[in-house]
Amino acid sequence: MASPFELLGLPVTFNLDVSDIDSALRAAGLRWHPDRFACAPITEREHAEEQMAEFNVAHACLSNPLQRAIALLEVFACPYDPSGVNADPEFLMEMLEMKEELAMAKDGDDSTALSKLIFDLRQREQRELMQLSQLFSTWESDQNRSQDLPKLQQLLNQLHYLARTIETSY
Amino acid sequence: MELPILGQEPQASELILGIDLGTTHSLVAVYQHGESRVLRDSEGDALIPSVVSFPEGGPPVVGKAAVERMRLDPLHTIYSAKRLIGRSVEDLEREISTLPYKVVHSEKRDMAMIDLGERLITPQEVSAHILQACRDRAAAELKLDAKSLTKVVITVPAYFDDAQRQATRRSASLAGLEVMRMVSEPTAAALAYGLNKQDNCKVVVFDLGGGTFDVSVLELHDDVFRVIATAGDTHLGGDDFDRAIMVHCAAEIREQSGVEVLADPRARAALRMISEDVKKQLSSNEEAEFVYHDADAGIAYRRTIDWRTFQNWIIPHVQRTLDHCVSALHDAKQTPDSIDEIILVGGSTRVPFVKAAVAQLFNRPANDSINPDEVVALGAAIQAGILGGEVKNALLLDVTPLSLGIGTAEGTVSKIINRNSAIPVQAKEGFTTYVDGQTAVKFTIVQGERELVKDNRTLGEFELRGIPPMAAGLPQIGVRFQLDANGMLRVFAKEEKSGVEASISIEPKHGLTDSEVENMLADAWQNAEQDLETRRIIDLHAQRKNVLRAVHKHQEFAKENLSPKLWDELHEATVAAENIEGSTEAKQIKNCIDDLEGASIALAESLMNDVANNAVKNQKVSDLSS
Repeated sequence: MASPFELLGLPVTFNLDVSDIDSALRAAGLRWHPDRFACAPITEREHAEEQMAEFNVAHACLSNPLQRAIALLEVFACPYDPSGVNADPEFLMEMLEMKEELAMAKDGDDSTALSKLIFDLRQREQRELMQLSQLFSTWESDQNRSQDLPKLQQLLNQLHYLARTIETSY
Repeated sequence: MELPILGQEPQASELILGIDLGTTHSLVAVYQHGESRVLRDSEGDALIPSVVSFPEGGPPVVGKAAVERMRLDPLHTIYSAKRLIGRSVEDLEREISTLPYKVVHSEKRDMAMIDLGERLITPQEVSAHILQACRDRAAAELKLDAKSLTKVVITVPAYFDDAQRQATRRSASLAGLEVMRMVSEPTAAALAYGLNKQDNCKVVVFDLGGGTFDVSVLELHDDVFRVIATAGDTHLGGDDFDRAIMVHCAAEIREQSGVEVLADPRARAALRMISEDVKKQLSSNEEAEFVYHDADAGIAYRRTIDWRTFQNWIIPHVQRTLDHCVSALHDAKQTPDSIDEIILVGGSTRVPFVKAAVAQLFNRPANDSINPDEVVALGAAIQAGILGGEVKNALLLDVTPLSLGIGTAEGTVSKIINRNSAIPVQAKEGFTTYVDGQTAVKFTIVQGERELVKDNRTLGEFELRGIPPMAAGLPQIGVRFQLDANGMLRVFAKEEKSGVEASISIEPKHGLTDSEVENMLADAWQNAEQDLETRRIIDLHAQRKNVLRAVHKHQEFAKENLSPKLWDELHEATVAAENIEGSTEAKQIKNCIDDLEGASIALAESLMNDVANNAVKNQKVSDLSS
């Protein structure tokens, strides 16, 4: 099956511009959206539905940095495997403390503290995403890709954890 | 007037109508000659009231004529059917208590139906009559044969779930119409506002209709309209504002007269109409009068409602709309400041407090330059133009409002498609068996955001049978969800090792099956059209007699208690109303009724005072005896 990058005709790289991802979907839509086949025979219309569904899935995947990273690793045949990642003990400690603070803010109905914590988490996520972006650009241009792979996987694992924590904080 | 040039007109059979099937009123629009326009009746009205009346022994009456029957025949005059569609009685407890007509649970269909006394009808049938009225309006206005108009784009609230969408589609089939596309109402509105605007911008559509609320965040880019996120509530709208007024005033009436006025369907219908009128007046006036008289029940109620009081009554409802805005912005990863424009849609955005609240949230005034009643229909017509090929290079990319998933054996939900996913979309998830040698697996398909199956809407259940006996956990069952561009779901299941397959398109739990629709088509639509005017005159005479009966009953009292001038007025109006017996002039009959009603207000007030005085006297007597 074609990768989401291939499907939307985008370069296989982590550092994609959001506006490029969106405009690739618009182009695909103008060509393949079922509305373009409203008066066509049913078989063509159904084919268009399937095509468009694939473009939408690809767009959703590339729009999310984490999923984009995972898709990229697939393309380079070194899939992301969370079970094989050695977590950074320092990060784990930090997250444990964060969780406790979140629980306290929630129990105490302290919305100011809660928004502050969520803000901090988002900042942290942004920093790690920047780091991921830099790591990917060196990794993608490196002939011998295995070198930075464990670091990449670890970062992805942390980002996963952050995203989940943020989502469950609301 | 320009004459159409033969051969250049689009073929009549290809014309697709854009229909806004609303809770309180519906509209029909078309896209022709490079623009969309709403179709009006001979009096210039675009709105077709979404009211259908079913007179005993006669054909159904739709629209304006049905509105006239609301007070006269509340048990057979159905409004707000859109609130009932695709729902069960359980879902509807709150609304049913204030509806004058009877809503019952149908065991057979597991859905809410309307009890007309002599028969039960589905909300789908009611909507089908409204859709037909839209089609007939278009046929009359465009001078086409109604039979040649079979293709439609129908708008639905963005937050309609699968069952409600399916039920809406069934309504169209009942009306003999093919739905080319169901479009979300806020998205359609954005189309009407944004077409041919080249700038790239982010837009929030705030759509508060009669019965539903939607908010959508869109990105406009070179005539491609992409919905990023949507949120809403299918039980929140202007009707709630009416109900707030009605409930407060009914409580005061009870305090003053001791009459539980909401218990009477006829009074309920009347109070609702007065409340709606008060709400509308408060959109342009500082205050409005709530006046309700019922001589028979001894009620003469009058109260001034100022905008501040009204505002206090509706704060909880308005707050809910703002909460949904915040959640849609969050899902779209936007902030109020990153939005370029806010568009107001739906008649209820005329309420000044709603407008002000939205402006405050987004920190700028909202755009309501297109008539909020007409904008959705205009957008539906543009979508029809896109489908018909007349509108080039424009496209609408929409999302699904609610997450879809499979209920697990533990009663939790495994989400397969997340809310705000762009549609069409498909997704797959793997399952297996729990018991050794299990040959069948049952799947519960649910829609909603909650963690547990029981808190979400169950769309349907299906079973994959014929799995070869294997040890538990060995079968690999792939379940694939396919959500089409209308937001409607099909589910496929396949056991990969044996190749056993099953699929269903979701039959809504609270809906109708295809064969039921066919049967109903055969039964219900063979009624020839009957002269509506005759029907109307019969109704007016019935109404006239009702009022006369009430006046005659208190004639002696009136003679004794009214001032000579008021008595003369009443007497004159009574005689006029008696003399018009047998007339076939609707307007004259209506005038007589209005005059008589006007002249009897004084009688009602004086009856009311009499009742109050007696009450005081009685109390004194009892005080003495105790």
